[in-house]
Amino acid sequence: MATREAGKKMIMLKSPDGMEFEVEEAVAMESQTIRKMIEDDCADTAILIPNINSKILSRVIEYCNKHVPTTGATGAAASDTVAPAALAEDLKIWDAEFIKVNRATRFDLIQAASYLNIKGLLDLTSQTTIDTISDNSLEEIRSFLSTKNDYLPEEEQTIRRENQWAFQ
Amino acid sequence: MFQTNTRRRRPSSLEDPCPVLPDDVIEDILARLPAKAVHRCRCLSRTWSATLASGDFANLHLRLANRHGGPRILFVENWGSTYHCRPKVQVGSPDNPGRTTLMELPHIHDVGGRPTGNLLPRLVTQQCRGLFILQAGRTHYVLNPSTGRMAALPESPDKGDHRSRHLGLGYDTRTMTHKAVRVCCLPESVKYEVYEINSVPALWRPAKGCAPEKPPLDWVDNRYDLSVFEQGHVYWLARHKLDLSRKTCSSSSSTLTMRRLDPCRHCRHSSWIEDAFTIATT
Repeated sequence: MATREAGKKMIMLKSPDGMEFEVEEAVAMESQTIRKMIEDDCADTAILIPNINSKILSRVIEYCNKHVPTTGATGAAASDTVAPAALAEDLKIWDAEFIKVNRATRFDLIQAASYLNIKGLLDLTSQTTIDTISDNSLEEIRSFLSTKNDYLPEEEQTIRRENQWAFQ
Repeated sequence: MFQTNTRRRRPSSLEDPCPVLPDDVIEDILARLPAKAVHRCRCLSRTWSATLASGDFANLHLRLANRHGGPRILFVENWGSTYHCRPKVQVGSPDNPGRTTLMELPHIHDVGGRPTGNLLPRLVTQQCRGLFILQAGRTHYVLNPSTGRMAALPESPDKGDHRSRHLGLGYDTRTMTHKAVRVCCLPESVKYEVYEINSVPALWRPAKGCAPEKPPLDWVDNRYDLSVFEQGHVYWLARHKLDLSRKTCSSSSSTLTMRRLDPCRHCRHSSWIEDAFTIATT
């Protein structure tokens, strides 16, 4: 583990395409998966993050940097001067801007958040997806989720009848 | 009733080819949908129908859905005169008024022309895995505030006083069904019955292992003392007419049996007006 600046532990994250990202330990620990690795002492050198390319990983780190708790030794000044409510509002606006990405990137972010177990990011990306699909027709949701309709025609009629109230 | 009129929107713009998400990630996303939209998604495919109907998904949905926009609050509204009222149930979150669910019950008429003070709609059970029982007039309704659906419970064949019937609601984790439990305090005996929600045929079945009580119990008015469901049992507070000693009655939701629990010795002689009870899990 590299150490830079007094009191700030740094962690090296490596994407499968060979890029390396040096981040503060507190930022990396926003991911429960990485936190577990660090706590179990499996993070001596760099941590390889499989399946997440550098483009997505850098965005994930950007999110974690913004969302790392500002209380404690590192960010005491920030929380002293700014009211918590204003801070939360600020973060909300930042999130809304952050998630303005195309569908493919959002799906990549969902997968990364799911693998790295970053609750806030998973909530944000999933909720955005839900907001786009909740009013769509079944066909649209099917294509969105790449699901095939495997019902026989009469089966589909039955299940549609059973759930008819939900379409009203 | 609640309507989603935005359902047939024009298709979202065509976006670039997209990575296919793993099923468990999709499940996690769908668990954030409103309950009604989840029911629509049951028509997606056979696999999704099975997944979305599973108990695991229900638990996931309980954990993830409705977290945005704060807690949802349920109001029972009495509208109209005492003799002719049309009750409404409103479920919504103050922070998210767009997702308000409104349920309207049929008109209530008091055929006998007696005062309807006791017939005004009110919840007679606490929430049990998302459902409530509401009494309006002489009819009991099962409410699902998440989906905005409700169904009347079948009437009892015997014409006892509606005020002598007390309902509880439990959830059987073995069969994954809700069950309503009813205690009828008739002058000569006490009857216990169980009704499985959505069962066909819709019938109240007698609970096993409960001989008629003698002397009959005089029940607490469950306007104030709702039944409590905990760990597979429904509990009521009850007392005898004469000696004011208290009993807690419990009914197991899976084995359909009733039994009485005596209170601990030191609280037996306190004034009954101060009674309040709840069940603590161990």
